[in-house]
Amino acid sequence: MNEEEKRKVIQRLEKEYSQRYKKDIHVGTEKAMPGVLFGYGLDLSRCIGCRRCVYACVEENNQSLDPQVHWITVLRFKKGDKWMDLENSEKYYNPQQVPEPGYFYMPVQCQQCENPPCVKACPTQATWKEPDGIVVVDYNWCIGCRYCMTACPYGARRFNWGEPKRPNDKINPDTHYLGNRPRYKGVVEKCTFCIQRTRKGRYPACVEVCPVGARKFGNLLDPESEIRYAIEHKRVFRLKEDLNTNPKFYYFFAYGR
Amino acid sequence: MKYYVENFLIALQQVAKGNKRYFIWLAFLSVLIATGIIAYIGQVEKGLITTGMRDQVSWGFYISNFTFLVGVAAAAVLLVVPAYVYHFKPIKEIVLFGELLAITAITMCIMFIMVDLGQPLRVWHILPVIGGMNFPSSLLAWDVIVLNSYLILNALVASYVVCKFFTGKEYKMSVIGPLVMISIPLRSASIL
Repeated sequence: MNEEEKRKVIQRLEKEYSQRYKKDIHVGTEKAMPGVLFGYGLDLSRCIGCRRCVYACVEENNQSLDPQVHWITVLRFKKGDKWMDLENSEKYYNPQQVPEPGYFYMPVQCQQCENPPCVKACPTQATWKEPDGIVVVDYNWCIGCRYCMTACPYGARRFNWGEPKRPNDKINPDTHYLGNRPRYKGVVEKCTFCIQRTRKGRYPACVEVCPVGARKFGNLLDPESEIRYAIEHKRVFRLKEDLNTNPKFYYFFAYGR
Repeated sequence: MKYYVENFLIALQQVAKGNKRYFIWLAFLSVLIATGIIAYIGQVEKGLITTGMRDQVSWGFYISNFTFLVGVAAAAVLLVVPAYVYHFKPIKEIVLFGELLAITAITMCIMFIMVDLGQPLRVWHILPVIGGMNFPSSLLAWDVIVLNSYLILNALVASYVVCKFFTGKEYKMSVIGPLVMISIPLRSASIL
């Protein structure tokens, strides 16, 4: 596709969305900035399991509200348990108040692997890794076979099982073609590090909302960035490193436990 | 050509002949098919949410049926090996039934994959040239190639043999032999 064709597609989509949601919706096509490779840090010693990130993400990224689609899952582990056993963690914890004594929390979202298994599994090349390291999905090319969901070792991908429903007044009009533009029934979606924000130099919504500052975000190629500081000075680890997916999502404990 | 078409029509009339039990069986199968079609219309309208699958279990009955039927289709390979490799006469006629079974099983395989798709109308995206087939890294791309070529091969072999049988001639091994031999690796690939 050349630039002219792309512009036409964007115009068509904007018109379609504006008619459907009765307000002006901008679909951006910002390209990856040169010399940028996004990385994410998450301080497990600070996370209190409040799920504010989950709902800030839903507000920002135009997910379906009925049926609910969340891109972030917060896992709860009992302190002292064999906790890397992700499959046996508690996803649906529902206490009166967080943090609960004796537990700790680990939010999991798309790990933006450098060697993403989902991209290999996609039969139509509807998902790929951008130059700035974000794995994206083209919602107009995805056929909904869900091979990528099966391939993903982190369970980070979500499927629109029903028609995505979101009231007109809850639509975020500032969207990106590869990110938070409204989705269709029967396509796969996932965390894009808020591509519509980060490509303009802003933080992802989950980083902004985190009340305890557990979430760090930055450019892995910039030696002065927050994320590089965390990698160099804290004991970081990545999920399921043995699978050679090479995630750009670093977990660490800022305070030794 | 006209000769074959006429004979095909005569053969087709055999479908409408049978006793009471045969028609009861046909009616039963039609009811099953109608139920499936009605259920699928509901699924197209509301999305795959009607299947009860969720993000945690994103593949269900459709994919398990698909893999099972691939196995059924591939099982014909066990008939071909003794018949054509070791020239074991008594089993040779059964090979044809194996081929026919393979055709039905492969057809069902493709249909199960189709109903499992969230956007069935975009299925052309998976084809090479007009779509964007992710070959060789994607498993489903392999399935598309293997299943379709296996279906075509089986249809060729079976229709050739049935045609010859109907006109009362002996089929030539030199015609179907190579095709059957090509289909063996395809079957093995489809199991994998």
